[in-house]
Amino acid sequence: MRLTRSEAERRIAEEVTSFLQASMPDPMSIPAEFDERIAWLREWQRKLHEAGLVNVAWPREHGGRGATLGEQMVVDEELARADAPELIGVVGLGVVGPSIVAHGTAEQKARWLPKILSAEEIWCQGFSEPGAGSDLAALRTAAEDRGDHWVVRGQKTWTSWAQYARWCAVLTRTDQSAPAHKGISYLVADMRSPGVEVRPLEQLTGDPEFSEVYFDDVVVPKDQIIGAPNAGWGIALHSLSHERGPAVAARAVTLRVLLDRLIADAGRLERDGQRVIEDDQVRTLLARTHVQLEVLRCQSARTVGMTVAKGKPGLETSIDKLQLIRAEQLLGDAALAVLGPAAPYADPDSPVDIRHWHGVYLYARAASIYGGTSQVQKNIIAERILGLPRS
Amino acid sequence: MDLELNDEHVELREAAIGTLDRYAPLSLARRYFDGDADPGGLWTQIAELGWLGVGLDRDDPFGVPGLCLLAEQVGRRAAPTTLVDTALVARLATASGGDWAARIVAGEPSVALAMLEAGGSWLSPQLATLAGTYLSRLARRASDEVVLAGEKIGVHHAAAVGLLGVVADLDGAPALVLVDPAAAGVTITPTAGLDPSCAPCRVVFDGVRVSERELLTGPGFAPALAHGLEVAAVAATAEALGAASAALDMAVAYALEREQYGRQIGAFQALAHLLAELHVLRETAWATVLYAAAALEERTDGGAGASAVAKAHGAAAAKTVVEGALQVFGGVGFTREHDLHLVYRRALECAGRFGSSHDHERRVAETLLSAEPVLTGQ
Repeated sequence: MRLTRSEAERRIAEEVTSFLQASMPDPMSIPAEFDERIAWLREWQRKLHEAGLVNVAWPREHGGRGATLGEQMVVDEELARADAPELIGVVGLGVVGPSIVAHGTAEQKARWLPKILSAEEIWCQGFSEPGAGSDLAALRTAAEDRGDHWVVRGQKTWTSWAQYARWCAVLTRTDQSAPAHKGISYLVADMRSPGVEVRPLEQLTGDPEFSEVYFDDVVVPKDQIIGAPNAGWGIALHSLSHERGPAVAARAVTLRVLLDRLIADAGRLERDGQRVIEDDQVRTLLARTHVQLEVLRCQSARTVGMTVAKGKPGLETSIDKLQLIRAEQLLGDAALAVLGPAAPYADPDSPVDIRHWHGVYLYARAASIYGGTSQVQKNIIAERILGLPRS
Repeated sequence: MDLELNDEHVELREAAIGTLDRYAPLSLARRYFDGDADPGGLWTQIAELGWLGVGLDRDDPFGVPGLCLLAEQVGRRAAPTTLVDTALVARLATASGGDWAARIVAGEPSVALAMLEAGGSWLSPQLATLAGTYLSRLARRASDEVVLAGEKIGVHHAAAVGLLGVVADLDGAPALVLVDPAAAGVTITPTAGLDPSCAPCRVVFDGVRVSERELLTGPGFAPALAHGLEVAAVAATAEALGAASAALDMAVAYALEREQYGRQIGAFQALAHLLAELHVLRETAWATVLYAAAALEERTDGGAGASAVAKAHGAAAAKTVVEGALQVFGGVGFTREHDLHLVYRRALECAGRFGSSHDHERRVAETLLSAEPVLTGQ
């Protein structure tokens, strides 16, 4: 057991700190308009990569440092702690990329990984479909084998960053006669191919972060499959475990920064002649949120330890995800409680940024939906950890 | 940060499982309901194996995490022992010098902790640190003696031990007074309790005279008490979680075995999801216990905050887990015939000992919200 950082972890933390001292942007300089913001964020990731600080645990030959997962976590934590801008290539970096590292060919790694790191190419994840959400294996997007290529036909939805993506990791049915989980392949479609159509959807928060993606006889060359044909389900689960596991630790730090800001806002606001931070109910909610965020940090650290020991994230990532949901939604509720009866109104004269807290609250509701709903996580725990029968 | 157990920890846990399976099966806890329990054999084993001193020396390979692993196994069997209470008394005795610590760690005499008072609480609501624990002026000096007058409740196994460790306020400072249970003026009355296997007692001190030799206090005492209480709070959480974890294991096994409407009840999503939620609680709570134990061992600044988080979350988690397990059992669990109630009761007892979830949440609020201006993100 060890609570302090290793020597290597301390060194890389210092590297992040000195990079940020020189390059941390003024938050006001980040464009508000969505398309401009995305372009700005790509440039930010490129700079960070130039400094060697993006996905440091990836192999050296593909642009990483071959660092430990522990060092990777330290970089993510330090960036989150400094409230540094998000990495726009998150799907490639954190979800699809790890599966390419684990299951891709040498050519695929050389072709795709470096540009994932530099944000030259954004990736999206074509998993969910209108008729296949929680029941992902019911997906119907089909890929027909035409000898030297596949032809993909179907529709994906809730596909984050699709309108900016160059590549889509698309789960397709390649064997109609096999049982649901055994006839799926993990293909990579070029989003510039003829037949690809992206229709952005406006989210509850107002951002068009995800889209519907239509594939109308889209050609995918045979060398653009990750793993073997009909072996895509296992690789999809691998991708999803990364979305639930390591990503959670950095999210925990981001939420910590948000809680600190909320506490500061509670000290600034007054209600009924009293500072909001003196209100007993608000204090209890803030303390409870702090406790649940600390629980998340401990749980996540324990999972990372197991991930390092086993070489890959395991089923316990579902526990991390459920704890993330609890903590993040509690934070959203605490934000509304701090704002009080004025919460629904974005008063421009308020000393705090009410619209920001609207976004935090609303986005927290997505936590129990994306990457497998809380109900799906509970099914995984019940059936695969506790050994209960399938319902 | 790495919360994986060391090899020594794993061996300690294996040894604890072996010893406690033999000397403290659940049937021993059950005997407390019949009034004919004798924990002597268990206490001898615990003392001989050196468990009363685990985590006491700074160069001990097990540390506070080791104490928590032992407490967890004690909780799983609702074992009748004052292991965690003794860990606190031994820490106080160590800080005060003298030969008491060595004797207590050897189990000669066995010790009960007399701390809580009727109308008092484990920790003062006004203070963020456990050093502010509420204590009455139960002790006063009289020439070269200390005189005790007052009463303590919730004293585990007071009628069976060889020594009472009485935490009291003496002239405005905290002190530990070691009292012979057979001394004149001491009245020990066993009380009914939610967890009879803790053998809770009320102890009345009616002008009990104690020599200076049995008085442990001094300038280093208050910080030792604060640290000892943090350790005890985390170890009690571990014991509560051990009990809760045993209850959850029973409930999962029952959900696989029991059939209603022609199928195993564990196949019903309402129960499967409940059990999954309870599993999340026990795992996340255990993570906070490991972290707090390691932080207390390393004596980092965050030790106190980490123990408050561990108790705030862990005590609530343990209670929710045993209540959920009872729900899975239905009427079968609501009998004394079934073993579930034995661990159910232990989880409740330990969840409250050294401060409830709400008490520790309030500590968190005090530390989190008192500093101004607040933290980062500005």
